[in-house]
Amino acid sequence: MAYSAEISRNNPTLFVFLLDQSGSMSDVFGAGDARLRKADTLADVVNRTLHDLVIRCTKSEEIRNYYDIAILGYGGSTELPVGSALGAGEVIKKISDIAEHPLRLENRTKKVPDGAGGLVEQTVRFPIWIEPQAGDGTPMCAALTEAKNIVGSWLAEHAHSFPPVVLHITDGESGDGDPTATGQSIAQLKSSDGNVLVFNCHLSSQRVAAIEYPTSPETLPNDFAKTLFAMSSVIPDAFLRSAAQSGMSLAQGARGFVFNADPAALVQFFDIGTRPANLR
Amino acid sequence: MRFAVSDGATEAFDSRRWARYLVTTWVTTQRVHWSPEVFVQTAKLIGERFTRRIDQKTFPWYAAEKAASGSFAAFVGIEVTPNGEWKALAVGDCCMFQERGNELIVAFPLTAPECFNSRPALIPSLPQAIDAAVGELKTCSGQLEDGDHIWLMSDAIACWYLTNHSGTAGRGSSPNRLLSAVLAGDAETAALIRNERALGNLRNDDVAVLYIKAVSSPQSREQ
Repeated sequence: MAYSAEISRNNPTLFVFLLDQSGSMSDVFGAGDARLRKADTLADVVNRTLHDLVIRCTKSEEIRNYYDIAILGYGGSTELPVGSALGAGEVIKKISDIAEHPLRLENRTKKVPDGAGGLVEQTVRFPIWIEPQAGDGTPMCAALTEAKNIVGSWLAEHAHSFPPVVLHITDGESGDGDPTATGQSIAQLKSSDGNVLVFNCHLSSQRVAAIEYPTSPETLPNDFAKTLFAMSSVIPDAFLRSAAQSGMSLAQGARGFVFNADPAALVQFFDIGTRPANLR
Repeated sequence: MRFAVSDGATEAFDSRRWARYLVTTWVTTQRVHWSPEVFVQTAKLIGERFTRRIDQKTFPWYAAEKAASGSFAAFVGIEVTPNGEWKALAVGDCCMFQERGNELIVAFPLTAPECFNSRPALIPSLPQAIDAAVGELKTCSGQLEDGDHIWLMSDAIACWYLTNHSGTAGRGSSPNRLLSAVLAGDAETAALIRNERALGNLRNDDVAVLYIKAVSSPQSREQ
C-alpha cells in the first residue's frame, strides 16, 4: 500500500517548501480580518511549521532526524532567482540542523492552564528561520526545476522512503513560462512507497472566498487556477484519514490545492501538507 | 502484590522516566486498595516531583518547550490479594488479560484490536493537567483461580495478542507461541517479537510484556 512506509531516523522523509518571494508578496491579503502582508504571514506560518516539525522530533533533549527539509525562495534578484531560504550550505538540511540554527530566538507569550480552570501567560523562546521577503519577478518554472532536482537527488539516496512532499506557495502567475509540465514531472518522481506529492497554495489579494481542495477544475475561475490544479497531486487516503482525525473532512479525490487562500487557509494548507509528520 | 506496565508516549518529554515513576510508585507504595481518587492524588504528587526535577535544568529551546508540556504515559496496574481477588486500574492502551485454560476471560481496558488507535488516553505529568484525565481512568476486578494466566502488555503487542485470540474459541497460535517464548526466556521472546515485526504482524513499537501465573499455595488456601 502506498504512503505507508515507516518514517524513522534510518528512513526519513523530505519536505520541500517552495516560497514565492516576488514583489507582489508585499501586498496585503484581500480576505480575513487583519490587514496582513502576504510575505509576513507566509514567513510566520513557515516558522511555525518548522517549529512544530522540530518539536515532533524532540525526544527529551535529543532531536531525532525523522525529516529532511529544503526551503527554496524565488523572486528577488534576477542573478539569483532561486535560493535556499535557510542560509548557506546544503539546501537539504536535517531537522536537527534546523533546530540548532535558527536566525534568532524571540520571546513570545503563550497561554497555558493554571491548574484552577483558568489560563496564565508563559514566556517561551520562539525560533525564527525565515524573514519576510518580497521583490522583483516570479520565476516559477526555474523554482520548480530546482525543486525537481533537489527531490530527484534525494530520492536517489532514499528509494524506499515515505515520498517527499513539495509545498508550493505563490500569489501570482509564473513569470518565466508555463509551469505545468515541470510541476507534473515532480509529481511523477517516486519512491517504492508512492509518488512525490506536490501541493499548491495561491494567496489572494482580492476579497473573495477561497477554493479549497477541489476535486475537479470545472469550478475554477481562470486558466491560472486551472494550471495550479493540474500540477497538484490527489491527496492520498492516509492523509485524508489523518486529517479526519483532526476534524478536517476532505473529499475523496481532492487535490492538494487552495486558490485565493486567506491566512487561515494558508495555516491549514501547511497542516494538511505536513500530515506525514502525524503518520510516523 | 502489585504489578504494572506503563508505556511512555514516544513524542513526549522524558516519557520513559515518567512511565518508570508511575510503575515504581504503584509497586512500591505500601498503601493498599487503590481507588481512582487515591491514584489521581498519588499521580499529582509524583507529577510535582517529576516537574520539579525538570524545572531545575537548562535546555535548548526545543527541549524547554517540550518539557513545559510535560510528559505522558499509558498505564495498567493490578493488585492481587492473597486470596486471589484482583483489582486493576488503567489509563490508555496498556492492557491486562486473564486467561483460564485456553479461554480469554478478561480483556481490560481494551477488548478488541479495533479499539487501538494513535490517540490513546494518557496520564500527564503536569499536576494541573491530571484532573482532566480522571475521566479516562478505568477500573476492573475479578478473581484468580489456580493456574490462571495474567498478562500485562503495552499497546502494540496487546493489539497483536487480541488479533490472535479468538475469545472463548481458545487461544490462537500466536499467543501460544508468546507463552512458550516467555517461558523459555528473554532471548526467545525477543526473537518472536523480531520475527512478528518482520512479517508485518506486529507494529514496530516498544514492547513490554509481564506474565504472571497464579499458583495457589497451602498458606493462601488456609487464608
